[in-house]
Amino acid sequence: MSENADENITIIQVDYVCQEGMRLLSRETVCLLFLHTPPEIFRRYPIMACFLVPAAEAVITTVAAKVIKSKEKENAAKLSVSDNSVEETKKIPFSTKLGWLNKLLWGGSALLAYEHLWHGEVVPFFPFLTAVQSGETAEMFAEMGSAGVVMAVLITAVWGGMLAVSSLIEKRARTPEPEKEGA
Amino acid sequence: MTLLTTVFAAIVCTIIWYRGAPKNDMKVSYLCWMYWGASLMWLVDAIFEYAELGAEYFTPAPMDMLNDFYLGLSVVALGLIIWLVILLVKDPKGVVKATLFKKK
Repeated sequence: MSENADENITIIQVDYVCQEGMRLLSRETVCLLFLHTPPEIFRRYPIMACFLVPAAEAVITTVAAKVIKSKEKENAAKLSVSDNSVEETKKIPFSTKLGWLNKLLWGGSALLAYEHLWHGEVVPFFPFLTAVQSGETAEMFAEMGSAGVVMAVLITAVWGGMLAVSSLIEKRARTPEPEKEGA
Repeated sequence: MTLLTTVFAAIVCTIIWYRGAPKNDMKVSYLCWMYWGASLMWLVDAIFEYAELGAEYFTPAPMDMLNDFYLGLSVVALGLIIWLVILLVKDPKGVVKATLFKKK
C-alpha cells in the first residue's frame, strides 16, 4: 500500500516537473521568438490617424450648417414679413439634416480618437501623433488617404441615404391623402 | 470586438430613443449618433483589416479579444460621459437650473 502511494507521488512529481519544464521551455521559446522578430510585425497598423479625415469633414460641415441656419432664419423672417402669415411647411430644414451628419462625424471621430490614444498612436503632447514623432509622416498620410477617406465617404453615403428616405417621407406627408369612398 | 461592442451599444440606444420618440427629453439621440458614427468608422477599419488578414480576422487570439472588448467597454463609457455632459449643459428639463436657483 505504502509502495503504491510512493509510486503515485513520484509519478505526480515527475509529471509536475515535466509540465513545469515544458512551460519554461515554451516561455523561453516565446522570448527568443520575440527577440528575433522584427518590430514591424508587431505593428500591423503602425501609424493611425484616419479619424482626422472625418474630423476635418466635421469642421467643414459644422461651419456650413451654421451659415445655412442663419440664411434659413433670414428667409423665414422675410417670408413672414411679406406674407404676414407663417406657412406651415412639412419640411425639415437642411441645416437640421446637416446636423445629423455633424453628429455622426463628431461622435465617431471622438470615439476613434480615444481608440488611437488607447493604442498609443495619439499622445497628449506635441506633436500629438506618434507617426510624426517617429518620422513616418508619409505612411500616415497614405493611411489617412485610404482608411480615413473611406470612413468619411461611408458616413456621408449613409447620411445621403438618410436624406433620400427623409425626403420621401416628407413628400408623402405633403401629398393629401385621398378620401375614402363611402366615408 | 470593439466594433461589435459599439454596434450593440448603438442598437440598444436606438431602441431606447425609439421608445421615447418623438420626445427627446433625455437627448438619447446624441448617443445614437455617436455610437453609429463610431460603428461605421470601425466597420471601415474592420474591412481594411479583413483585406489584409483574410479569414484569420475572424479568429482572433483570446488576449486580443479581451483587450478589444475592454477597449469597447471603455469607448461605450466615454460615449456615456460625453452624453451626460451634453445632457447637463443643455438641461432640457431645466433640472440643473431649478436646483441651482432653488430658493431656500
